[in-house]
Amino acid sequence: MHGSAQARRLVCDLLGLALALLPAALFAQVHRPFPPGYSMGNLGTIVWEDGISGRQPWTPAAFLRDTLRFGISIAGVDYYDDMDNFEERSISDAMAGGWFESRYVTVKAGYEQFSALQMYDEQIGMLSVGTNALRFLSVSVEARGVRVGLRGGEDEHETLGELGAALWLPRRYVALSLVVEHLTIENASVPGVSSDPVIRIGLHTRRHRIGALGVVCEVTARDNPRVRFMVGQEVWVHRMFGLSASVSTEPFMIGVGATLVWRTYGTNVSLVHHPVLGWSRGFEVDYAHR
Amino acid sequence: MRVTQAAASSIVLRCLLLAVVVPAVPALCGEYIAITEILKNPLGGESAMPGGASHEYVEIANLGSDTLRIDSLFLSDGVDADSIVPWVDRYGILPACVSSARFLPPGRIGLVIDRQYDSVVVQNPTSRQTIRDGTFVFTVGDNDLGDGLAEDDGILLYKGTATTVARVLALAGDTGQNAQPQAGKIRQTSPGPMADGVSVALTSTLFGWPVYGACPSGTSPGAWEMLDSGWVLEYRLGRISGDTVVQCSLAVLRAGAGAGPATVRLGRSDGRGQPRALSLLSIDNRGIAFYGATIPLDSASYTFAVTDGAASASRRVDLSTIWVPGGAIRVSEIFPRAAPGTPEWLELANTAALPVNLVGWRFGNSEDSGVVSSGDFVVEPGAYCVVTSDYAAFHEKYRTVRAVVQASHWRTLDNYHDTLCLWDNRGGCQECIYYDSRWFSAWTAGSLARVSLGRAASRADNWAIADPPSPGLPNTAASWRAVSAASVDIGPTPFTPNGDGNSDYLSIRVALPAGSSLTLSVYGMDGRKLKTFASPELRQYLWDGRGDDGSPAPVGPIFVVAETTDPSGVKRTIRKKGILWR
Repeated sequence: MHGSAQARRLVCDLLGLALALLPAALFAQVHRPFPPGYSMGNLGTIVWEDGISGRQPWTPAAFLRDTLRFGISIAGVDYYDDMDNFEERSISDAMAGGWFESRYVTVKAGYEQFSALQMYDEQIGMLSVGTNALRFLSVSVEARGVRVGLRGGEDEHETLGELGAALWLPRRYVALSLVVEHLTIENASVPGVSSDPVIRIGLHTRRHRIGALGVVCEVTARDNPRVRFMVGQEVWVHRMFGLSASVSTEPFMIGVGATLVWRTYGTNVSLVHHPVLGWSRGFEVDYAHR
Repeated sequence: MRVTQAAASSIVLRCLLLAVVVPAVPALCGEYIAITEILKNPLGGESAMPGGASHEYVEIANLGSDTLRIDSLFLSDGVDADSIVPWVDRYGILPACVSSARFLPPGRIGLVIDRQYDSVVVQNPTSRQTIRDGTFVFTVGDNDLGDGLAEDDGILLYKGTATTVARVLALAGDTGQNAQPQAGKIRQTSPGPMADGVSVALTSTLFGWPVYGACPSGTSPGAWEMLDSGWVLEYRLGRISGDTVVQCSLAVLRAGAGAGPATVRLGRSDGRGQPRALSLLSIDNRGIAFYGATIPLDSASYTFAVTDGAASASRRVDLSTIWVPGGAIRVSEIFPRAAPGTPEWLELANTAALPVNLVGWRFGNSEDSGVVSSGDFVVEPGAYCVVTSDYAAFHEKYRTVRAVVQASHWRTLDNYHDTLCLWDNRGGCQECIYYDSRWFSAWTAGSLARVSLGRAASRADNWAIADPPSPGLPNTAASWRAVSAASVDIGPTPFTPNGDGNSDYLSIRVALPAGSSLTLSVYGMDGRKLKTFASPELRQYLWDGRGDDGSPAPVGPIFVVAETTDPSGVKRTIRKKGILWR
């Protein structure tokens, strides 16, 4: 029996590692207005390291400190309202990814497929490797490969690589997050493809019975730096069901989300409203294995 | 002639005298003399060389069948009288003219010139006037013709003595005056002051009291424009019946030959239809034959032609000067905000199927008005023309605009709000417009273009800013502001502002109801506003893929958002999706 358990554990470890090493993406957001999945409704302000929040493959590995071994998630976003042209063609994002956590190392990997009007595509792969060996600090580094271009034109694509890093400093009641993104390894030859570097600092209360609160300040480094603030609140009306709401500046957006958790399964639906461009809709399904 | 204060006379006596004198003209069968041209202001003024008083002249025509002898023939301005005497060509300056004659044969033109004319021409040959060959040249017994003709001098031509009138032959002056050599100055106030070098010419004589106007060619000594191949043809338009036909009277005179068998036909000037022969109504004792006709108002002009087998002539009947369909001429664009090098102007559109002659038309309001044109200026059907305050400056700015006329008197347009009316040559108000700068959020440049020529021009929703202006051309506003609902079209999708000349700009075409305002922006995928287009509203915007800060916008989806506000404040948002790639 003991050997059998060890074998199962080994298989699970290998499976988790394989999922994590999928040539895919995490933490996408090339010019996206908000993060996908569970973080959509709270605009990335709510982070709890031992739940669906930290398990999202598109968040840095530093944000995950769980006793579970691996998990997978899929998510999708449909951006903005139907407008007055191309009514039948949407702007959507679909992503899938997984994570694997051992005693000292956490690995997240994911893949994202962004499509706009059936004309423009982005494929993003991300790998995030972190450690939570220290009780008071988790760190991770992220690498992303991005391929963007027009559909159907082989010569109308660009590929670039980016690096990022994240720190997670948990305390008894709050945690501090620091994320640096879009540090370009290989710049695209086409202007407007590469993203400007972003520094994101967040303060997040630890999850408790009522809920959680988070504040994020995001600075986009460019000639004329842009600063964006996001504030979010999550309330658990039941140990299985939580609601979240958030607001951001620059651009002004309001997000709401509903999360349902049962055992190691979780799902979320979110809505984000832009005053001019309208509503965006998102969902996430998450599973974790012990 | 000397300009002296006229002696006071009773109006009643003048009228009585005229009542005796004027009817005496047609009473003399076979004798029909007309003063056909008077040059009062030669080039260079009264004393300048060349020209001056020595180049003044009076032209007469013997339209009757009798030879006019110049014995006892006088010219008078009512104050002084000059006898007409033969002119001797001492220096041979007019070899092709008839000099030293004491008579004027029937059908011929005589020219009474100043005695000093030849000596001045000898001294300065460049001052020679072009006198038509065969003209009978006379002069006056005094040193100067009438002691110099003043602008408002009328002329009496008579037989008699220096102080008494035996028989009046012709009178060029205002009606109701005492036409006697010493009864007070005879005035000729119509057609008003002439510019230097422009004479007063007889434009109508067959229908009674002679009517004078500006000589079309400036001066034409020895030639009378009304005389065509020996014929004098005139018409009078009468009552319009049911807006479909106009009554017309035709008067025909074979100068110097009197009435004779002649055929008169009337037909459309454009050649459509068959000319029809007119029936003779009467012949008066001067030999003038009168015809009557009913002309359908289906063409801008008709032509009547006369022939007697030996000679023929024709005359165009310009119906556009007397009959203009209501509201045919519309103000289609105005440019009140003159800038250095760009004068004020109005654009007019002829919406009728007939050409319209704008001679005598005025524009303005009750405070002040301007004259569109004092001469013929015809706007063809469906065509546009421009009336400007400064032709040269306008032409320098808009060289391709052909139909341009400088207003005879410009009425300055208000930069902010104004009411302008357009009156035709009969005083009928054809159009009234109103504009107000408060209708537009940002009117810093450009003209105001009328959206619809069929709608009232005093409404905010019928005017739009045109920048750049389009004088002489149909207004583009008519196509994109004459809509009931706003719309936006963008393209191409995707657009690729990479400088390869292909799809480098995103075209944003707008159709916007006049009176509505527009705020146009472009948003990026991240929800941030990338670009805001400034007012005023345009038909088409082009976006080069750069943000307001000049940096390249991110590739990917973009959103064009047009927010419109109608005059009542109702807002509407139009959103379009596109793709940017480089």
